[in-house]
This record gives sequence, C-alpha cells and structure tokens, in this order.
Amino acid sequence: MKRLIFKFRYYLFILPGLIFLGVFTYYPIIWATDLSFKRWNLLCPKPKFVGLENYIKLIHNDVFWLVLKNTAIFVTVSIFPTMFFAMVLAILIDERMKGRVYYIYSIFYPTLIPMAAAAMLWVYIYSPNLGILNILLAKIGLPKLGWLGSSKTSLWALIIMTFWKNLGFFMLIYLAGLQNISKDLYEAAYLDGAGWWKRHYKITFPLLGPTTLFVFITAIILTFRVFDQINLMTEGGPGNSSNVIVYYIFENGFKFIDMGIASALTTILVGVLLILVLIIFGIFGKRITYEME
Amino acid sequence: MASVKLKNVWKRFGKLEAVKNFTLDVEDKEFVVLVGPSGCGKSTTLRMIAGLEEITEGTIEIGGKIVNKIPPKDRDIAMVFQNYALYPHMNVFKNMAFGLMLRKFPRSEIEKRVKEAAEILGITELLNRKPRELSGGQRQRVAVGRAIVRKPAVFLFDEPLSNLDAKLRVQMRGELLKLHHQLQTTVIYVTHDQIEAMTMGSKIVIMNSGNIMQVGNPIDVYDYPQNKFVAGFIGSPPMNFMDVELVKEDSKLIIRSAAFSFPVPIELVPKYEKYSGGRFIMGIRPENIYDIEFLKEYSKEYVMDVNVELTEPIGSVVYIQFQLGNNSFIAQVDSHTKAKRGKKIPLYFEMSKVHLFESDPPHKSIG
Repeated sequence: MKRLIFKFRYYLFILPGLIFLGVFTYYPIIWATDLSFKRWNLLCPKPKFVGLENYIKLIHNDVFWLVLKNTAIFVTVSIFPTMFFAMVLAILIDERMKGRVYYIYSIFYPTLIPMAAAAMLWVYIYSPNLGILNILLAKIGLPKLGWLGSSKTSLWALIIMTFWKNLGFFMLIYLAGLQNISKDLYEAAYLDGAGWWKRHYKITFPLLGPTTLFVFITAIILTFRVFDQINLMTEGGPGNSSNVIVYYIFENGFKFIDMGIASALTTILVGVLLILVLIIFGIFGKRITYEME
Repeated sequence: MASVKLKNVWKRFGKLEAVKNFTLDVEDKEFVVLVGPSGCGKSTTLRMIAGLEEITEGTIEIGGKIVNKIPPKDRDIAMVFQNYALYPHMNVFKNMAFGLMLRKFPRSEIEKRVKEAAEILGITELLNRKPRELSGGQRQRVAVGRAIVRKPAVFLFDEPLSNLDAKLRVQMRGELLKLHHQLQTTVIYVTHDQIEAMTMGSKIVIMNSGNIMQVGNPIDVYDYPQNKFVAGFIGSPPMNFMDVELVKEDSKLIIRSAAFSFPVPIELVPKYEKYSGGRFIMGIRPENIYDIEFLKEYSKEYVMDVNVELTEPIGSVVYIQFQLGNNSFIAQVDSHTKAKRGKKIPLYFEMSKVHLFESDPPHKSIG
C-alpha cells in the first residue's frame, strides 16, 4: 500500500481537483447521457429505458429546430463582432498612455456588474415607450421598434446586450495578450518601414494568435451556454423567438418536468461543443505561433 | 555612405534630462562606440539618431541632411536591437526580407540580397528556420543580417552582444569588426561594457548622466582620462583613488595622503609645481603597482608595506586587494607573487604614472 502511494504520489496533488471535476462535471455528463435514453417525466415518474425515443421526438419537434437556429444565430452573430471590437479596442488602448485606465474601466464595467442588474438596465433601455432607444429612434425620425416584445427583434436585442456585456472581458484578455508582444518588434518594424496598419497586420495580428484562439473558444462556450439574460429579459419569447438551447433545456427540465428530453438536449449540446472545439483546435492549434521563451 | 553630426542635442522626458547638449561628429566609415553606465543617455542618443525618440532640442544630420523631421524609414539607417527583435512568426528569410518587401523591392532583388547577407554571416542553411529554433549567436547574426540587406548608410547597434554568453561575445565582437571592414559603413555602437568599447571603437564616447565625459580613440582615453569619471570607468580592474595634497617640504614637492607621503617624480615637478598647497584626488591604475620581488631596479622611496586583504589569481596575473587609509586598492602583480591573505607585502608605486584630479566635481584632470 505504502509503495503504491509512493508510486502515484504525484497524482495525490491533483486529487482534490479531480474529485470536484468528477462529482460536478464528469458524473453529471455521464448521468445525463444515460438519462437521455430514458423516459422520465410527470407521466412516467420512474426512469424507463426507451432507446432513441427522446432524440426522435426532438427531431420531429419544430421548436427544437427553431431553438437550434436561434442558438446558431446568437453564437455566430455575437462572437465575431465581439472578438473584432475587443481586439481593436485593446490595440487602441494599448497604444495610448493617457487615460488608459479610464478606458479600460469604462469598457470592462459591464462585465463586472451582475447579470441581473444588467438585464434590468437593458429592459429599461429596450422599453417600448420609455426606453432610451425608442426615444432616440423617434428623435431621428425612425419608427419605434418592439425590441424585446417583438418576435422579429427579441433575439437581436439580446445579442446587442450580450455584446455589451462580454466586450470588456475579451478586451481585457486581448490587452494581456498584447503585453506579451515585445515593443522592440514594433520599433524594428517601424524602422523597416511599416506604417500603423502594416505593423498591426503583420505583427500584432499573427502574434495574438494564441490569445485569439483562447478568446474564440471561450466565446463559443460562453455564448452557447447563454441563459441568464434570456431568463430575465424574454423567457425565450415571444413565441420562442429568442429561445436558445440552454434555456430550452431549462424549460423542458424544470417547467415541463421532462428530464428525458432535457437530458437528450444536454447531450446534444455537449457533443456539439466538443466537436466544435476539436475542429477549431485541429485547424488553428498547430498553425499558431507562440512567442519565443 | 554617410557622416552623422549631432549638434547641441537635448532630450528631456518631462523634467528628466536624459541627454544634455550632446555634440558629436561621426565621420563616414567610422566605428564610434557610445559607452557609459546604465541611464547615462547612450541608448536614448542612439534612438534619437534612429528616429525612435523625438529630439527635444538641437539637430541631427545624417549624410549632410538634417533628419529631425524625417521618419526612421527614410533616414537610411538600420538598427540591431539588444534582444534582436526578430519577428517570431516569420522564418529567417522573411525576417531579413521584411524591410525590403515593405519597400516594394522586386522579388529577385530581395532574394539576391538576403542570400548575399546570409552568406556573409554564414546562416544560409538557417533561412527556413523560425527564430525560436536558433541559438543566441544565430539570432544575433540574423538580426545583423536584417540590417545588412537594407544596405544602409549608417548601422546602429544597441548593446547587441549583451545577451550572449562571455565566449560567444568575444567571438561576435571580432566578427562585427570584420564585417565593418568588409562593408565599410558608418557604425554607431552602444554598450555599457568598457572592454567592448575599447576593443571595437575607432572612436569612443564616454557618457555619464546625459553628458559627454570624453571623446577620443581608446588608447588616448585610457592614457589621458580628462576626468575622474573616465579614469574610473575605463580600465578593469578600475583605477584606484585616494585623497591627497601637494605640499612643499625642504623645497621638495610631496604627494601626501593619510597613508603615504611620496615625493613627486622629478619629471612631473614642473607640471605639478604650480598646484603646490592644493588638495586633489590621486588616481593610479592597478598595473602601475608592482610586487618588488619582480622588479630589477626600483627607487625605495616609492615602496610601501601593505596588508593583503585578498588575492585573486586570474591566471596571467594576480589581483591583490589592500586598504590604504579609507580606500580599497587593487594591485595587479605577477602571477607568481608570494602575497598571502593577512600577510604584509612591500609594493612599489610607479608614481610617474599617477593622475591628479581636482577635488571638486567634475573632478577634472590637472595635467
């Protein structure tokens, strides 16, 4: 026994973390996958194995496809502008000394405040009659919009709000990434005759590769799992127009009390995320240059 | 090819004066070394020549043209940085070609120039490697190569060897000198290492806290330091210093200190006579203090017994540390010396080689 412990002594150091991961991550994943093959709802209070029934039900459900479409729109439309503006803002802030902290704080501030507070704030901003957005639209002579109350705009309103909330976080990560790029490189490029655009296009952009990969994957996972603002601002409505996968899981599990369907959805979500991350790593992981030393 | 002229150049960062009234002529094809302790303004001066720092006051001319307002890329200069500043995501070829590509040189010309430079530096087989796959010395060569391909009128080096290990540094020192002979270009080289300065520069500029302390060829600067700073900075181990006064006793001129009283050598009397009665700082280099055992003849009046505190054999010679008054002295003596720690040993002071400096700053040399 003593010899065994000695042999595996290094693993003892990661044991606490491993226990947490096991109990709160790996076990639920396995359990959910198992449940996704079972019927377990109000009519069938004891889990019963039904094979692929839950998945087949979902495939024939229009709401499921709408939710998938909404999620895809939400993820793609919010990720790329967030990444782009986070990088550009980080570069602009990194280059200036004066008022630097002020800019960082003001852009990072939305990330700091609780989602509940941010949601309430944006409910007011989007309010059809009193909200500042519609007042502004009226001022420049444009028709008012329904924002959260209209099935045409609700998803987009949430995307804008999420962009505002996440921008600062990703900008901060980009700022940290920029600190790793030696200032000498810019001076060398400047002497080589590179202007502002060329310096960033030829040096900053490629050397931010590892940061961008990290931001990209984090952003995908964060936006796939979006829930709080949907629950607080639209509850997926109106008419499922702003319903996304995690909220749909919550609805199925805790509103309709159908754990089988909820588990099938969870399994799909985990699978999709896993495949996406693997693809991204496969494509970009090896091509990215890490700074020396 | 070009000369570089700095006229009354100042650099201020807010209230801090980094470079003060700097005037220097660098002739065409000259190898000039700016040397001084950290924070003396040498790198700032170089960066102003390169165009990386704005000039607060004064003018800089390159090839007869005032460049104060000319951007770096049009100054016909190339710079080698201390950490090489190689682009980590580009291979060696691209690193060297980057500047030419930005200047829209034709592809064939770029290839020709990079290959030429790679051959001169012996890095032809490395052209496809990334910087992280290179050793320190190889990176250094690539950084130099990047400067060469541009065929600039002036090369600027900012402490290019300080990241290399001691052996490689000596080797690269020689290679850079050979390169200078081969390319026949003006070089301005910044270092804090006085040995680098002495061995490489055809002219060296010693700086301290933003001021030029002395300009001259290495041997002149070594033999005739114009002030105590230069005397102490150039030479290793550094010159020994001692507070002394010049007095006349029985019509003999004497250098007297807390620890000794030596007559001024006859040949120096005319030079120092007029300073009789004054207080000075005396400087004597370690190699001008001898172990008498290895001298065939010497004058007994310049011999003094000292307590050896430490002996440092470095092979070719031995450094003996001892205390004179409140000052620590180092003597550089024959490697076969019998000096032992804690024992007394008689040393001969070659007083004809001493330097006297004013006791008030800036401690100018008096002769």
